Amino acid sequence: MNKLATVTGCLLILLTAGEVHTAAAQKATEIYIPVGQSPGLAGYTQIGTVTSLDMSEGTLTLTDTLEQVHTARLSDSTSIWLDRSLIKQQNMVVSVNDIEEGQRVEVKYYLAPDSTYLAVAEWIKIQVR
Amino acid sequence: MRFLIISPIIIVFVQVCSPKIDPPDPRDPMIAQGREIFFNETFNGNGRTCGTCHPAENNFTLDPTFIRGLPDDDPLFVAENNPDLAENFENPILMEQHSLIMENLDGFDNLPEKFTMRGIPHLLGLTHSVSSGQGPRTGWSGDGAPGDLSLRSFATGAVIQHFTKTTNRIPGVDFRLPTEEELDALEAFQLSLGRQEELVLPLPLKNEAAARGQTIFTDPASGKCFACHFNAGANAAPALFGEGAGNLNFNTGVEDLPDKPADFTGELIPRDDGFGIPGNGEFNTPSLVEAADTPPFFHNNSVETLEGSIAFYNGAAFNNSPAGQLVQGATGSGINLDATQVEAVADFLRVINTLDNIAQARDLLLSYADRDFLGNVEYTRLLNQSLEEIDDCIMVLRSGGLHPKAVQYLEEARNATLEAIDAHNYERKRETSRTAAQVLDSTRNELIELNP
Repeated sequence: MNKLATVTGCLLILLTAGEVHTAAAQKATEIYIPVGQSPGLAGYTQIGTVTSLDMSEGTLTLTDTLEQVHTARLSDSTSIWLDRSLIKQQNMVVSVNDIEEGQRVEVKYYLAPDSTYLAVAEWIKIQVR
Repeated sequence: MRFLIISPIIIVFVQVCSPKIDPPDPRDPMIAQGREIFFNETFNGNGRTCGTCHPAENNFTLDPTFIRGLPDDDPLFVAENNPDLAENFENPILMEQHSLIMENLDGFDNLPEKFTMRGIPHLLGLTHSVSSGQGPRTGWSGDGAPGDLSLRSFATGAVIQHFTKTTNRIPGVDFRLPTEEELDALEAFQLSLGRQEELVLPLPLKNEAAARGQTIFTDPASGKCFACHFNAGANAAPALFGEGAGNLNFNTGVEDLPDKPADFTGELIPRDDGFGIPGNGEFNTPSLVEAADTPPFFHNNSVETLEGSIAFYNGAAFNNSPAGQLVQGATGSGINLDATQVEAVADFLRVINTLDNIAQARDLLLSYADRDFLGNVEYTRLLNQSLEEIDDCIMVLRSGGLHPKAVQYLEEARNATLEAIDAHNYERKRETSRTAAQVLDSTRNELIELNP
C-alpha cells in the first residue's frame, strides 16, 4: 500500500470519528424560536398535541392536526424548552417532567449521517398559551 | 520522499485565464432586496443591522481600527448606550481593543459566565466555504445556525443573539424574527459577495517570493497548507479527505496559544470549546484567498498579522493539537517553516488576495459601464465597492513590499474610478470606468504570467 493510501485512510478514519458530533450541532438560539417558526424546518418537525407520555419507555406520543400519531423517543441529550413567546415571556429550559398530555409541542428529531431522521428527539418545544 | 507523490495528484495545472467571477447584479431583485435588508433592517431590535458587524466598507468584518473610527452612537456600541444591555451582552473593552463579540454558543442559562468572545468572520466567498459532507458549516465553529443549520437560517440566530433589546430575547417584544422571504433574500445577497469560483493552483506568479510561497503552501513535505485549504480556499483536499468533504472542522489548538492579546486585558474570557455542546474544540476552516485584507486572524482574533497566522503552525499549540497530530501522523512530521518561508507564504497569500480583489474591482467597473441606465443608486454602489477593492489591493501589496509597479497601476485605476464616481456625465462615467478596468488588466499582468 503506498503512502498516499495510508495518509488518506488515516485522515478519513479520523474524520469519520468526528461525525459522531455532527448530529449534536449546537443551535443555542433555537430555544428562543417559537413553535413552528424554526427556519428551514417546515415539514421536518412534527407539531401536535401530546396524547401520552411513557416515562418508563422514554417515549412521547403526539397527534398532529391530520390526526396522525407519532412517537418520539427521548434521550438524555434531548433538549426540552418552554415556548412562552405567545404570552410575551422569556422561553426557558425545562425537563421531561414538565411535559403533560394536552400540551401543544413541536418535536425535532436527530438527523442520521445519511440525512434520514431518527426516532430520537433532538429537541421538544412546549407551547404555553 | 514517497509522500511527494501526492503532489502531482492534487496539484492541478494552471488556469491562466482570469478567474471567472459572476459579479453581483443589482438588477437581481432578490440580491437587491437582500442588500437592503442586510444594511437597513433592524428587525425591531436594538438598532443593529447585519451591516453593523459586517460593514461593506471593511470587507464585511470588523477590526479595532475600523471600530475606533465609528461614532459613539453607532449601534455596535449598544451595550454602552442601552441600559438594558449593559450586562452580559457585550464586553466593550474586548470589542474596542480586539473587535471581539459576545456569543452564547453553549446556551443562555448562565449569561455572566457561559459565553465566548469571537471575531467577526467576513462574508466573502461564502459560495465555496459553507458546504461540507457533514452538512452546512456556518460561523467560526461551523454550527452557528439554528433550524436546518444552513446559511439561510444563520440570520435568524444572529437576530436573536445580537439584535435583541434585552437579554430576555422574547420574539415579538425584543425583536422580530426574519420572514421566510427575508431569509431567502439575505442568503442570496450573502452568496453574491466575493469570489464565485475557486482558484486553481498553482498560478504562474511573477514575484519569486510569492511563487516560492505557493510551492511551500502546496508542498506536502513543508507547508502542508493545501490539505485543509485546497486551492487556498476553505475546503479540504479531495485527494486526502475524499470527494465532497468540503469545509471541515479541526481542533488546531488556537485556544492553547500562550499570550493571547485579549488575555492581557484581564477581562473574563472563558475557554471557547468550539463545535457542539459541550464543544469538541473544533473550529471551521476559513478561506485564505480573502485573508490578507481581513485581519485579525482565527476565531478569537488572537493573531494580528498574516505572518503571525502562518507562524502559528510552527508552534507547540498547533503541533500538539489534534489537527497537528493528524498532520504528523499522516506526513511523518509537523510543520516547521523558517522565517523566510513564512514570509514567502504570506507574500503568496497577499498576491492571490490582490488578484481576487482586482478581478472583483474589474467586474464591478465593467458591470457599471455596461448598464443601459445609470441613475440607480445601486449602480453607484458598484463604483464605490470597486474603489474599496482597489484600495485593499494597494494596502495589501504595500504591506508586503510587493510589486511596486502594480501599485502604481492601482493608483492610476483608483484615480480613474474616483473620476467615474465624481463625473456628472454618464458617458464620462462609463468611459472612465472602462479606463480603470483596463488599468486593472495591466495591474494583473504585473502579477501573473498570462502565457507561461
